[in-house]
Amino acid sequence: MATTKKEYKVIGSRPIRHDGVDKVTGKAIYSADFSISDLLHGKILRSPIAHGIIKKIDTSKAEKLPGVRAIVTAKDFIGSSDKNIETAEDRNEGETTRLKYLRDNVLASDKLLYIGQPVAAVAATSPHIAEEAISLIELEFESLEPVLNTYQGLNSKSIIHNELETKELGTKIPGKTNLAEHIQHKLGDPEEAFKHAEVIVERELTTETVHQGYIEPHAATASWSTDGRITVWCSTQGAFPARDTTADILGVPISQVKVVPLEIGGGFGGKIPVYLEPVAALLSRASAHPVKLVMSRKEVFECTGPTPGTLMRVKIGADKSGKFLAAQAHLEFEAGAFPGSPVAAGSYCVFAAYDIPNVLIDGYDVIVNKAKTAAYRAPGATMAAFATETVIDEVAEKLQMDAAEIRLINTAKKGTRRADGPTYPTIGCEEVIRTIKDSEHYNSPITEPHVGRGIAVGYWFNVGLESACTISLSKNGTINLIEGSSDIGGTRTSIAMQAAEVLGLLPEEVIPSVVDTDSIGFTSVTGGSRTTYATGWAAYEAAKDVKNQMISKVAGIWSIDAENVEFEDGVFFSKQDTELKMSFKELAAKSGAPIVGRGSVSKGGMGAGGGSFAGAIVDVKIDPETGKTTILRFTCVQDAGKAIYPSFVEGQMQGGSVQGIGWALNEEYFMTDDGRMTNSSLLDYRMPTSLDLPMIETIIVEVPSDHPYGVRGVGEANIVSPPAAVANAIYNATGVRQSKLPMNPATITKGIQDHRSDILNSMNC
Amino acid sequence: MLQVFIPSLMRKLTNDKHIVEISASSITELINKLETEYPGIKQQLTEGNLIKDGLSVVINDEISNNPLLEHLEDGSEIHFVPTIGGGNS
Repeated sequence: MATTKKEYKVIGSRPIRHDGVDKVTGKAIYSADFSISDLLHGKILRSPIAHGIIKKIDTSKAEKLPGVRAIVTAKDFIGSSDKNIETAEDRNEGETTRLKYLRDNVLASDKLLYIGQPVAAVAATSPHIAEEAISLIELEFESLEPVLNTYQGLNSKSIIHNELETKELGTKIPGKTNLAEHIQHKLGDPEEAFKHAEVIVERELTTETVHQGYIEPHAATASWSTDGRITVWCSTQGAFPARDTTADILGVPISQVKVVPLEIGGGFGGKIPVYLEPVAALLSRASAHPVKLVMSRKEVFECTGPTPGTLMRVKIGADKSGKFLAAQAHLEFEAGAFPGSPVAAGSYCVFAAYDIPNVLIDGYDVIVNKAKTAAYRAPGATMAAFATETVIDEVAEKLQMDAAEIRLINTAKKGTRRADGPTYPTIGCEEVIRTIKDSEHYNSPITEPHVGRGIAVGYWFNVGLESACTISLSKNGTINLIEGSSDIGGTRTSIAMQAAEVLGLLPEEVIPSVVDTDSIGFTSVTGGSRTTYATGWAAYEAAKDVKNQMISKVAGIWSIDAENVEFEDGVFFSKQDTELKMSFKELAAKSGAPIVGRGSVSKGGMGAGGGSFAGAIVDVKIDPETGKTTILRFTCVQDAGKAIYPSFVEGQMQGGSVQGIGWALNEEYFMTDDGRMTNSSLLDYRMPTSLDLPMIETIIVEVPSDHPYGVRGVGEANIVSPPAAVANAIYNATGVRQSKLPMNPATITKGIQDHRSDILNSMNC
Repeated sequence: MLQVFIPSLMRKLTNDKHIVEISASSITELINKLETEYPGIKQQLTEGNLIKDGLSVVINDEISNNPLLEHLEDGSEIHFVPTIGGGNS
């Protein structure tokens, strides 16, 4: 389905991607591949307990091991004592706390806050010597009672951060607590509106901790030169944010740090934070050698940010026609060991797909003794949609309404006022739901027993933020496009295509390069579904700048005003004299000052372009004896605004859907009562593979945004609806509502058994 | 006049008023006028001369990167909303 009419030459095509050959031939350099002369290898000693106080770190035995070149702890941070930080003139109290939390997450200073938290690091001449040295470091500690979920966090007397006070809209509420933040949005009068509802459904749901599961582990190499310059080579979703955070943690100016982004083997939000970079830098300074740190899979699972476990209560009231009158959500998210769960984003998205006049949303960011959570593809929205979309299904059932129809009559659209206040610009929610309702999949018959179909809708707000691009014109008429966005999903090509469209070039006539932080203007993360949108916009502006400079140049050659020059189909021509024509390539070959175009944009924060809506239709078959769920068919529908490179859009839709299915059915951290993850390998942390799933079908909807080509970022919204859609399908197959992720065989079997007991009991009555 | 939407957690300061109408040409002027009418609200919105950490200002449905530098047009809608964080370092 396409609602855009404009014809393009490059946009919407499927050229060979620029990074393809290097990646399929193994020549691309990822962070663990990186090497440099005189390189030392580092290893990290990590906390063996979930909560405790550090009494002593004795490194003396490790220092004596031959081959050990340096050992660092939190004491080695420049100005790392709280006193020094607090007295810095440019640091307010909030900044002091933020820095302490950032530093403690890469090297603990006083308390142990989760199993796997870094405590000390060693640099040695080989990884094996470094590992042996780690085993010789003696860590003395006093254990404290761990806090492992939001209930314990809000009710236990065990306080994780003594200085922490609850924030409400930036204002602190005095008193020791594990509740870092309370967020509230209120629209209308929900209490009164619920009184008028024909049907009210209220449910409590939970989700477990899950990991992004990127294939490439974190790795970083740092070199701290004697002139004070620090160079970091790493796998990151944002070289500039990594530079800034590394500089903050090290207490050095950002101008002293250069981050060189290497190829990235998946991130999904989890490679926005820094973990290894500052530690490698400290080891490099201490040893006077470059130092490389590479995480094991176990370290990735246990020590880097997963997405949080949650407890949610959602209530929706509707009138007889199915129109939602009021909605209420209570969202408790585990932040991990430091503040900052995605509960604010979850609160923003929980009812975002619907026009509901009376809403109350309360979100709670709760500190627990687990690794600090990180972003994971539409962070917070997937859990929230699991709650909302299963409750909506139940409302539809009670009103005997079609699941797509009830969503359609309540859909958010342009001008809908959101629970947090502002109204939507042009969005594609209605088009997505209508596409689901009209699809062949949704209207196909279900004939087998134990098979059910479910649908759900999800939203991710997308972000804009800052991006910069430069374009240099070569004499052969090709262009070199320089950008700062890490290429995760083929963005080199989707950005290059936007420049090519402006200049009438073929995609292969654009040579894109992702460069280090000294070589391009500030560019924010590849995250928030922003890169094709915002960096693409910067490339569009840079290409326009090139075009305008070329128009001025040819106008000079022809001795006419630039206003009288047009550019179309790769040819410059005079509007007044049809004989005056020159191709792009001919003009590029003419001598003169080099033509360099610049594009620099700042496209706001959340809600850039109105965000993206996506929906899922899924057919499942349940084995009633074992509880095994088989995905028979899955269709993802998403508004892409305008698909620059449709294969990449489809790839994002398929990838997000598969991750959502894994989250729905299998993925979770199995934790012991003392806070230890027991399934920290890819064998035991069960992610779906191609053998588990059918081909994921995709339907791209195109409702253009404010972007010059109408782009909406598509990296995230596609993961939001699958768990809820699968839950609704399982209900339709079994008659049992699901209230917990993952919906693994044990959960489903127990639900079916309880359901049968209920039926038998009611029959006996 | 500007339409200023008061966050629910601050409505105790505005006698539960959801929307306040005020004439101002800048966010600083707006906050000062709010303070005159609803004492205590400035302390909730600002720290020093800056918008408080954790708060974002939305002007006509768009989050402003530099709200204190914005010129406010008559008829504009102003929201103070929680800053979306989570997941970043």
